[in-house]
Amino acid sequence: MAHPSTALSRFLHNRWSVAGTIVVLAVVLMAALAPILPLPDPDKTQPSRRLSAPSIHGFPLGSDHLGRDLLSRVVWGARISLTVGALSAGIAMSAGTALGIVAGYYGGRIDQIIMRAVDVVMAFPYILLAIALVAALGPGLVNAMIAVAVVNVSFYARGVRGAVLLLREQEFVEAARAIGSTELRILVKHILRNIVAPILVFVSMNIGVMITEMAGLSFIGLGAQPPTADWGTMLADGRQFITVASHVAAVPGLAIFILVLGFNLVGEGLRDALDPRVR
Amino acid sequence: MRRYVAQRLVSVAFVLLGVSFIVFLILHLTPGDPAQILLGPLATSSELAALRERLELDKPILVQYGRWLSHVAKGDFGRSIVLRRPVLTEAWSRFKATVILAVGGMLVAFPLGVASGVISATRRGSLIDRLSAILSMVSISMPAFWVGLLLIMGFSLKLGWLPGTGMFSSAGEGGVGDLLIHLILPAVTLALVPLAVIARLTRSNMLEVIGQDFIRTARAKGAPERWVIARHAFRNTLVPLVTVLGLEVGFLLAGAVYVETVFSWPGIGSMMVNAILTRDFPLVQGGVLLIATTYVLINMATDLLYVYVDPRVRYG
Repeated sequence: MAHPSTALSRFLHNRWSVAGTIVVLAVVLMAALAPILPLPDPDKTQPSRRLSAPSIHGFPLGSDHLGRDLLSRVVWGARISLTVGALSAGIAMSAGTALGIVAGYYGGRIDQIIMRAVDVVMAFPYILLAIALVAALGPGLVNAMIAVAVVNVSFYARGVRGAVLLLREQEFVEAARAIGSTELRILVKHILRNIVAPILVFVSMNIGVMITEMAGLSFIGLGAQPPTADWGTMLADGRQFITVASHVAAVPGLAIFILVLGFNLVGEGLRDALDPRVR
Repeated sequence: MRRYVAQRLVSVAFVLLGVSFIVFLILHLTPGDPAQILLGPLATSSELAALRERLELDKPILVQYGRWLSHVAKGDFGRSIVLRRPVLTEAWSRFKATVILAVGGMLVAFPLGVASGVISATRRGSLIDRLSAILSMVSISMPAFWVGLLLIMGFSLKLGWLPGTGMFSSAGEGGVGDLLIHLILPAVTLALVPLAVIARLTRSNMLEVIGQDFIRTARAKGAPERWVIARHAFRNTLVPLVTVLGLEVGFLLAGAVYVETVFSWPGIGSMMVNAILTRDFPLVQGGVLLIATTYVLINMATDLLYVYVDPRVRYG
């Protein structure tokens, strides 16, 4: 396993990873500080100034079909996208890791049952299960978040199980048993510690996909419901006006792209830093 | 080999059973009375009672599942609430449109992706290699529904070169040319992510293969570099790609949901979205079942193909 300080320095020397980190941090900061930033009310409508192009009438990014400031809406929308993305990823990671550890460590029937369930979940093409779940639970931000989380649990479960299978045969586990450590202690101290790194890599590479999925579900009307507005619904709104005001659709999509790109760069950077191989 | 095939068939059967059960549950997980949901708010209480009896809604869930499954096996997927047509007919005709889109996407993604990967691998570290790495990263970060809108804005609205909606022109009588023109933008949009994935995978596979001894031997024997690449490296790179093909087809089938919505392509993805928004559950179930089953079968086919193509892999 790579020595932490060297991995960190590898990460920091990679300018793409640093760029990605800066982007993600900037968006998170912007979203967190939204209430105190000097932004106009994102819900304030000015019908007389609807569909203004960027920098007209004092709208830095233009206004939407109701005259609302797009920059402000993008910033406030970031709060939603980041929150649901993080929650979704957190749920998927925790549940998936727990399942993976149990399946990998205890093996036998439990392993069989869990892996069969995972197989069935993975039998659905990625978005399809999320859509089916939202169909069953009903449209809404929370349901969409649950649906996306459930679909992603299987990736974590499989990956963690694989890592645990490898680890549990290693000598230090046997040694720990020999000196009388309890199962729980072995699990936490040895197994968990060694899978943190790959999990971190996967989360950072996965969260971008989850954010896009959530925005996508909102885009087709299955995610955030009015009046909640995340980037996906903004895109959907803007879609009707692409003939007259292309920026209304272009801007929220650009926001999604930038954030996801940031996360993907961080993820790749982490992967390269923690597992350096000749590229 | 035969034992492996048999094993796979058995596990696929189990998986399909699980998938169908989940699909069956879609209607039953929803809050509310299934009979009410199926008949809509205008149903009379006698109609509701009759449907409840016919569907045996008072029986245990597994019994209902069995009943539903037996109907599905006979091709009876129920009737669409909104369209008042059998689900299978509707779903099947939309499915064909999605297949056309998916094939179009694959025809763009696969050749370009492989070509890009090969070039990157053989010119490793060059400008082209780094450029395509950047492009790949950018492609997989862009949401498909946004890219679709951008392409429509650019090529359809601004330049007027290509149509941005639908499968055929509403005025014309259809025909292959019309279809192809309408296919271009959606197929390119759909192909973007698979292209990037295929390109990177091809590149890393090829780099691995090139580093191996048998390549050195071929070079040492004096074979021209082109021949080494084409005959030895390329062939061996393609094998793992077969599995990726299976995954990407799944992506294409399901990812089509967003692309179909943006381009108003009359495929099964857009059918399902509309069905969900109108609470037309039989249609949703039919769509999900059809796509998931296709995906499972394609994955099984690619697994078997992989075993067949790579003689080193021998199961059982």
